[in-house]
Amino acid sequence: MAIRVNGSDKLYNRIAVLRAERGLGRGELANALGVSYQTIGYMERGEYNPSLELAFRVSEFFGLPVEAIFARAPFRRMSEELYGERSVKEASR
Amino acid sequence: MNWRTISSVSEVNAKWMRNLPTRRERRIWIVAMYVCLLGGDGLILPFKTSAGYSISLYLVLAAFLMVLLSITISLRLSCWSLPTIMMPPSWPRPPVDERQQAVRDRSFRRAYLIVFFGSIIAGTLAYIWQDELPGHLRRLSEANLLPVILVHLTILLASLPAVCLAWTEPDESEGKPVEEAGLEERSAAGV
Repeated sequence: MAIRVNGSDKLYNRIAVLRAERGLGRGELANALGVSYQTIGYMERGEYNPSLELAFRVSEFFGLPVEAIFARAPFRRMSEELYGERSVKEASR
Repeated sequence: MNWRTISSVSEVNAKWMRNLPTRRERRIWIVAMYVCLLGGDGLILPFKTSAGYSISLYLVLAAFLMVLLSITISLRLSCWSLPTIMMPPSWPRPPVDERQQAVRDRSFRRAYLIVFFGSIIAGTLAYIWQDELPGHLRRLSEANLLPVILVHLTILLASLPAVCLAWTEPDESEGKPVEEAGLEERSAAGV
């Protein structure tokens, strides 16, 4: 049973990107955070909004501020943030 | 129970989870369970002494076996419901994280709504067709107890959530100055 998140309540996150960056599996991250691996999947897909406590645990684990991982608006792509929108468009041509 | 134990249990649980029956299979299971249970009850009541009695007993037995298997599925889903609540607090519990707790709470809410509307509808139908009721239920209607039970049940079920909330909600400290959370503990610890 998925916990449906309303459009206005949707919280975007970068957990999947950060996890991939560190080469972690869902199970490993779940173990470190003390949650089930399914919960990591739900969070990554934006189907579950974590509690403040869990959000802080995630941010402590990745060593980043909470707002770097969770946001109410969609995140820009990492590549766009690093190299700017123009270079990404040029590369995609 | 520390995090290491919880994580190792959740790892085992995750392995179980992969072998979980599909949603369709689980739904068939649930329907079969209730058909057996209701079929068994329906056969027991009118045919107490006939051959239908043994069939009904088999059906009820099958239904209870399926109830046990359903509990196994709920264990696999890490969403223990009634068994967890009934267990003493000192007993080891399955590692249920906040999302699973939320799922469990939602399923409780749905189950409550089903019980609420189901019992009211069943009671109303029983009142309408009270002449068709089997033995012991007809005695209730003859004593004119059916509408009384129905009204009391409706009031009880409708008021129960508010009653539970009113019972457990703490008092608001009016006029007390705003205090930083955890200040007392920190000052006691000398931080």
